[in-house]
Amino acid sequence: VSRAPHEPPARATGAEALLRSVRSDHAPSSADRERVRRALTRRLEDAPRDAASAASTRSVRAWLSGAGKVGIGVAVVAVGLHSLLQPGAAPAVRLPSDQPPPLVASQQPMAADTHALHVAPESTDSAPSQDSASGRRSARAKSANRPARTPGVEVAPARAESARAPRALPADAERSATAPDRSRAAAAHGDGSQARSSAAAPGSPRVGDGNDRGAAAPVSPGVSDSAGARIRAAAPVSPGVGDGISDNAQARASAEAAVSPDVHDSVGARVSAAARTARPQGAADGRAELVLLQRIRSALEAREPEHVLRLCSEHAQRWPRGTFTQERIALQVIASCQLRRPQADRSARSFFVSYPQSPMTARVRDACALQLKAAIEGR
Amino acid sequence: LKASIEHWPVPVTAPDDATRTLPRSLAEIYDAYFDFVWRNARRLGVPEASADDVAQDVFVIVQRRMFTYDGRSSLQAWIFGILIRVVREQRRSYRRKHSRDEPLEPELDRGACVAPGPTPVEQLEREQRVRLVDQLLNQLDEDKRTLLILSELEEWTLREIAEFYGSNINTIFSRLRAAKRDFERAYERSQAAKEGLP
Repeated sequence: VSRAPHEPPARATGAEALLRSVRSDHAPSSADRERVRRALTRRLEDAPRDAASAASTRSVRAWLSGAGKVGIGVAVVAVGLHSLLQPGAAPAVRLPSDQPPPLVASQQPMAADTHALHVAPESTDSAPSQDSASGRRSARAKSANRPARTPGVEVAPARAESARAPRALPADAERSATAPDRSRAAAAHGDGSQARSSAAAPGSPRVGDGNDRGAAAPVSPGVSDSAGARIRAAAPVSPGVGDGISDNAQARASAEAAVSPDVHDSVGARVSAAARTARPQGAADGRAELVLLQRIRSALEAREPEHVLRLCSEHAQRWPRGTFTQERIALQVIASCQLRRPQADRSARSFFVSYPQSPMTARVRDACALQLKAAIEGR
Repeated sequence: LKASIEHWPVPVTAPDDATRTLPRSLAEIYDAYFDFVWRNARRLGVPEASADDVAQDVFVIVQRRMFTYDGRSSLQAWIFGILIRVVREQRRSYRRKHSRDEPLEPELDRGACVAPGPTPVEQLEREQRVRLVDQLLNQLDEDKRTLLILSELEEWTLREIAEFYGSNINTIFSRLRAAKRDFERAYERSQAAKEGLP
């Protein structure tokens, strides 16, 4: 066995001597040994118990899910039998071949087919095809005023709730349009979020009729991407009818179904056409925002903080939730610190809180070092 | 508590001649290799506060993965491989939580890891040596650091190191020479800095 090639003692360097001198160091004490031993024993004893409890939880969950599936099956069979045995009563879930809704069937046959399995027919025929938002609102208000004679509401209470929702329009619709998931989707596409939110309000997924999809997209002025339009388009055909879209991802997933060839009639065509025409406008808008940001940067490099603040307020007005909002705020804070504005340190601290991972953090900290230090000392 | 660690069966699928000399319980492995795991975790840069966790993780993995030990390398080398991976993971999670410039271990409590010397002066000198070696090893990359630890501190043979890396002896020899050269340069720099030279 060949040993490690140690140098002969005459040539042993100080580094090697140093290494050899610490060979016996870093040894654990007996207290270390016993402490780790106890902890390891505890850990190994707990591990099988955790595994057993996880296994029992899994088995209970599996049993519950099986029971739930059986229960759903029994309920479906019971509803079917009930509708068969009582020919006078209107069926709760109506297939497309079973008395198609007269108004929608003539104008939007494919959309009606798509909805028929999920949506009670009363909701589908409640909204006539009109292009103006006010027309839709009045039509929906009318349908909302007659939920009592809707046969489908006994087994689909969520639909009744969704039918009541338009009563509060427009104020409630504005609020629903600024719900977190919707505003996130809007903010992700640059400008025009306010306009798009208000335009999207009539197409709120809680309402869930076919016409909203087509009508919402063309009136949205600043759509820079088709995703926003697709989210609105997806809402009526989402499986969770009645509880609206709770999740952006769900909306996007069902959006693919919404623009599938099955629904290539007027609705889908109008949505995609609107998105296609809106995209270049959004791209140009993004470029304009970038150009303004570059002007702000050059003004800062030219040591013109007053000009920087002016340009920043212009950016804030034009793109309150723009793509480069974080950069703009950082440059604004830096300019404020350069001008020794009284509240600059507070702006800097709020920037650190709002954007803790920002790549601009170091620049802001350097620019505002004096103010931050003064604020700390003053406190 | 002790029983659970001592009555642990080793599910080994190694050849008979390899299993004959193997410890039959985790307690045996723990007694035989705890010092080795602990001191090398510290040499690989694990702070003393985290050495407990690293040692525990190593032995938990040993218990779970013992059936994969095939006896081709020594059990010590197999455990050292586990230790290197655990330390690497520990370092990665530490870097995620702390700044990159921050050293892995704060320069505190160094004396606690040093065996007490007979006199305070000797103890102080030993502490200084250990601190210096840690600083110098910190300047090397992980591969060179590991090679120096195995060769110079653990006194493994070149063949053992080559088996551990799955490489041939000549390659290990040249890598080790490069590691020693880097360590010597770092040592010379530290001496020059101590004497106030540029």
